[in-house]
Amino acid sequence: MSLTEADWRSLGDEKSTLPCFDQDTPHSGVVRCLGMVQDMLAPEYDHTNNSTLMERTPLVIAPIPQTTPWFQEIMYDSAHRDKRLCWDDNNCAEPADPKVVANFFYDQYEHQPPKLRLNEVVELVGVMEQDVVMEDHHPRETSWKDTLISAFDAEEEEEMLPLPRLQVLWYRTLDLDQSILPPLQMPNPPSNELVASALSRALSIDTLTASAIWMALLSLAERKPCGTPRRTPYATTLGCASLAILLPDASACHQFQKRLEDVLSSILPSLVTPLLKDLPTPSKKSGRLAQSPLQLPKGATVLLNAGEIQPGPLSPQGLEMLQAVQELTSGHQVPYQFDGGMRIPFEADVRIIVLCTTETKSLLPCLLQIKGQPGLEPSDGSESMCQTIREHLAHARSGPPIDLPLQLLTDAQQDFLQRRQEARLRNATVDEMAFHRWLTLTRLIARGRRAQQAATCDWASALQLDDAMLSSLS
Amino acid sequence: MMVPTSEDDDEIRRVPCYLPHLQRIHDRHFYEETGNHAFVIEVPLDELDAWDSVKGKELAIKAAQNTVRYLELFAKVVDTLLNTLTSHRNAQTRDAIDILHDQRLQVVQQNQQQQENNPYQNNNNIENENLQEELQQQRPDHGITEEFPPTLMRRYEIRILPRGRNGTLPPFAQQVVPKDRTATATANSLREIRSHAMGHLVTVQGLIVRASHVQPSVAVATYSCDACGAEIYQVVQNAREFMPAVRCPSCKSKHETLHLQTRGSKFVKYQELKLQELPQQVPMGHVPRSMSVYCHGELTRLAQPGNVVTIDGIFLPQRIAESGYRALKAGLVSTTFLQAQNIVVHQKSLDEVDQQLNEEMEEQIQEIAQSPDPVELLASQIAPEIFGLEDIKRALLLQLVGGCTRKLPDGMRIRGDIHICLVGDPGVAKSQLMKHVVQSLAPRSVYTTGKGSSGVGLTAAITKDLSNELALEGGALVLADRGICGIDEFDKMDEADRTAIHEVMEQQTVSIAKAGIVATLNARTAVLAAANPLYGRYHRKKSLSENINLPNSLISRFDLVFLLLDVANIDRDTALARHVTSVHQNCGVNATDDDEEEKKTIPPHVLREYIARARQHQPVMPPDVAPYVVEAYVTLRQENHRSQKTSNDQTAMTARQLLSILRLSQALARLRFSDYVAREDVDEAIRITNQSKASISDDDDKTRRTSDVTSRIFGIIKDYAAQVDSNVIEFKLWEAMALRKGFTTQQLQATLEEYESLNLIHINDSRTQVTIF
Repeated sequence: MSLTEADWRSLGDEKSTLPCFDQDTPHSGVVRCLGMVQDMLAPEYDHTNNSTLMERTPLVIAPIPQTTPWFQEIMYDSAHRDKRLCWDDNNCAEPADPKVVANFFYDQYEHQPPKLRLNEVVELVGVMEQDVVMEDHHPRETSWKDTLISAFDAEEEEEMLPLPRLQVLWYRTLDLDQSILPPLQMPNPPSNELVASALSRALSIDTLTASAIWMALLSLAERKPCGTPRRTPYATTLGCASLAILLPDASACHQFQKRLEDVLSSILPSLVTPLLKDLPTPSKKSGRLAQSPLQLPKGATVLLNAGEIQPGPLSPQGLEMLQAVQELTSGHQVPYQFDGGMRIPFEADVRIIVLCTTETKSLLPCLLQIKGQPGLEPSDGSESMCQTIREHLAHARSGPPIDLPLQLLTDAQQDFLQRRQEARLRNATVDEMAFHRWLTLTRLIARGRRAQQAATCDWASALQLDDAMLSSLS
Repeated sequence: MMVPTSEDDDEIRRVPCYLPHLQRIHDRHFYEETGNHAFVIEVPLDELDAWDSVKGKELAIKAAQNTVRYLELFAKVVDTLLNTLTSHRNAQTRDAIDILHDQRLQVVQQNQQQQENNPYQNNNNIENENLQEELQQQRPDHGITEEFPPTLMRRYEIRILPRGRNGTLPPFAQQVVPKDRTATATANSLREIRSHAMGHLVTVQGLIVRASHVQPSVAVATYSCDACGAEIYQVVQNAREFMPAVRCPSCKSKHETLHLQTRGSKFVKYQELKLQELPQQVPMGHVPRSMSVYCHGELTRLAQPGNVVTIDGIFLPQRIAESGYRALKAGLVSTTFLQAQNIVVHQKSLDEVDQQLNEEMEEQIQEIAQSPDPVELLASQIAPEIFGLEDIKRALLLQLVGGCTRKLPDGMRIRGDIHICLVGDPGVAKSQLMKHVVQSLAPRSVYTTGKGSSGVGLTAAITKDLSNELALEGGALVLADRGICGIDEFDKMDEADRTAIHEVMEQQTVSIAKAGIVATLNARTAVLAAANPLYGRYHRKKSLSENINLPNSLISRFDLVFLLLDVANIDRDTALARHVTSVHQNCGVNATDDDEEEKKTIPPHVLREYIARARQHQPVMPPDVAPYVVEAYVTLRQENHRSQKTSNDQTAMTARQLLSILRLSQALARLRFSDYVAREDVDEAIRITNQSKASISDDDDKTRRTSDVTSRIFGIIKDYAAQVDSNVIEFKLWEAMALRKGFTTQQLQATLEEYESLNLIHINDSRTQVTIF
């Protein structure tokens, strides 16, 4: 029998007494586990008795990538913090493979597979199997050579990885933003200008760049009722805005990256800074999805330093990586490779900040571009400021989709036509991408105000911000 | 299995229809005309439905739900029937296996007689049976038996096919099966095959991602005993492991006296395929599933990696391991596989029509074909999210359909593939259009950039393989043979490719003579190129050749060159602004019009099938249309000559353009599923060609600025009237001239109404003649 939501609620404080899964000290009973759906394996059939055939879906649950310390504190109470299910490469004593294969029995979920998607964050409660060491993937996936003929061949021995198995009783999906929402609404949420000013001080950078960073942090995909992100005809995701900060040279990129990491790790739940050199793209070959830094849950933040890319010809792997990252920064989706040359793009509703130089700015195309001028002053960010921003951000991102009223769109059309005509006189271009960018900024500014509907003032602010960003580049 | 003898018969008299086929099997009389040297008995469920409809049984349902069991039952029936048939086989067709079988049968019969005559032996046999039972208990899965297994004698393959597959025999069943049972088995995706389908006959569609070598798989292992001389058999069926027997159950020897007799055993061809879900079958946020497919006998070597297939097969469980540590670990968990019964490989190129059309798709195709303007409807489905560019989308549709390739008696080949080049400012959706056509619509296509990411480039190159041997490796154009090759950044291609592509585009071959390798590879591909201006933006004052840095000889090989510029046009800008705002407005939870939009669209697979159907037609130019084309060409050439004198028209009307018009006309005729090119097709082809030329020529822009559409259409008839010195003109002629110039019928109608109301023209009652006042 599975647990229901009511059962789970009725547990009340008892929930915290449930032991969290720990790789080193396995529990034999009911445990709970938090992680990201990293891979989906083929369904298994279990002959529990002669008459019934139990069907189940095994999912590989991996730690949420690069969670920040404050997020871990919120997610795990102090009693179990040391036995948390959320691993951090920096804090892990041993880099053991901390994955779990979670078995979802169809019988428990109305004879349906669990309604979970790849890269979703989930909380699970289940029974840990004892002394059952299975392959880390379904045998069917690797039974390729284990046929009648190759069965004669004793050399065919599959690699076996010990992965603990959890028979899931209850699960729920989590949203990184909603999971950190404070219980009470903030009485006076800070304005966009105030947050930009605070970020400016914390990062020791001009207010314009700080405003652009704030917009990138508010970036969130608009979704269809079925939950899939809305794509635009320009191969971008509606509501998402990636930001490229143009810096003088590679060393400036490196320095500013460190500063951003320090400050943003106090604000964001998950901050990933993958090394572009030798970055593996997600690919499922021979039955397992190899984990890649580009496999990210919704709401994570990616900080890319394009200054790391060295000039010169790219290897085929390097080219593949670059194309994948380009698709991430421009379209907020990452292509996953599968057997047979199949390439399926997966949504990557993440916040993206790219640090680049003049030479590398065209390598990773972003919706927003700005020339950053970081100062030399040390960072000035207090813990209370970080907490205020993080709570405000969580509230803003957890709100409903931003509606663009008809009147605003009509005004926007007029402004677009006027600006397009003016640009032609200056022999410049105002194309449809610019219009799309303005509307996206309008949406983000409205989200920063925690409004449900964008207003004319948001449109004006968006135009002002875009103009300022463009003029910083010229 | 049975056939009605007459439609009028109330009571259907049924005669066996499998018997002639079984007689051939019995006589070893191969189907020489089809080159089929193996006997396959296919039992479609439709046939069983026919039987059920008369007998009131549920044989078809039972066979579909317990297919393995019924395969064995049918095989037993076939064995019985074969034994009753009289042999017409001559001595020459008897081979060594026949003699071996005859001898075995004799031995079996002798043993039976001995058993009947010798009660002591009977007792001994009872002991033997006990021993066999004991052995079976000890090794329950090894299938060791002293009895002669029927499988060893079978020299045919038997398969059960789902409904809608006719099999190798004529579909008699269709006449007697109730209509509610005649539905074709629809292909499922792998994730729809669940535990309730275990043991059932299922139909799945997917992509073959791997295929093993074809290897012999033992079906019956035959042993001889060194001690007693007995022949022992071991039936191996759907087992992944097989432990050869060593001890004789006949003489009960404690020593290992059994030896495998390879010639006396039965081996079948075996191939394992890995089937993976197609991208469109994978729900958002899920990974594609895969499944092993076991193919035996004549089902091997049918599919290759990369093929999209529909497989009818039996969904079966398979123990992870029969014994040992792996079996212990797996416990009660089992894996699954599909035992193939039928494999249909789907179209690999645009020319191949899907043979397994379902009724729904057939209806959709007929609906499109019978719509008022199928070309318009189909063109609107190309990159529907990209605003405007109607003529370019129309041209891309014609490229997908293509013209007819002609081979002249003297060996000369006139290509039918239509080459298109899109030139324009950055950010005008060139790449999106190209990607949509190449990646979403063309079944066989390659998308690459002129710069190329690999060393092979666009044409071909000599490379060194892993063993350091020189090898010829085909480039993108060779790989896209019989398909479409999308080349982005065409202007930036390597010098070597630039030289070689001339040959590719006209002769459609790639010749290479390097490092001692001289070869000519086929590159029968339609090129869809996109080029960016050399100076970042298109320079109106410079020629097309200068702008994209390509020689005229190469540009002229394109049937259509479209220039996409970000030009000032208040109507277009307004529409663009509305389009962008609609994209933003329709987001959020209130958007409910999605489903409605989806209903209006034609699914890509239907569009692909329509194109494949259209390509089956080879339209010819009827004698009455040929002079019309000649006249149109001469007129266009004269107009071109005049315009080149008066302006800097960069395009020339050459014989190559005439061939382009013919190709486009053929493509339009194909889209109507017609085998003849009509005048309207020629007019439309000329219109599209003119639109292509007009996009390059800046004269047209100036004219457009100075006069409106109706004035220009009126200007056409006025000029013609002056030319022929007559004020009465054929309406059809005017219409043709206007359409050729790129105007639509609606615009012509509007002009007619406007000028008639102004009393400047008059059209007669029969609407055949126009008089200009």
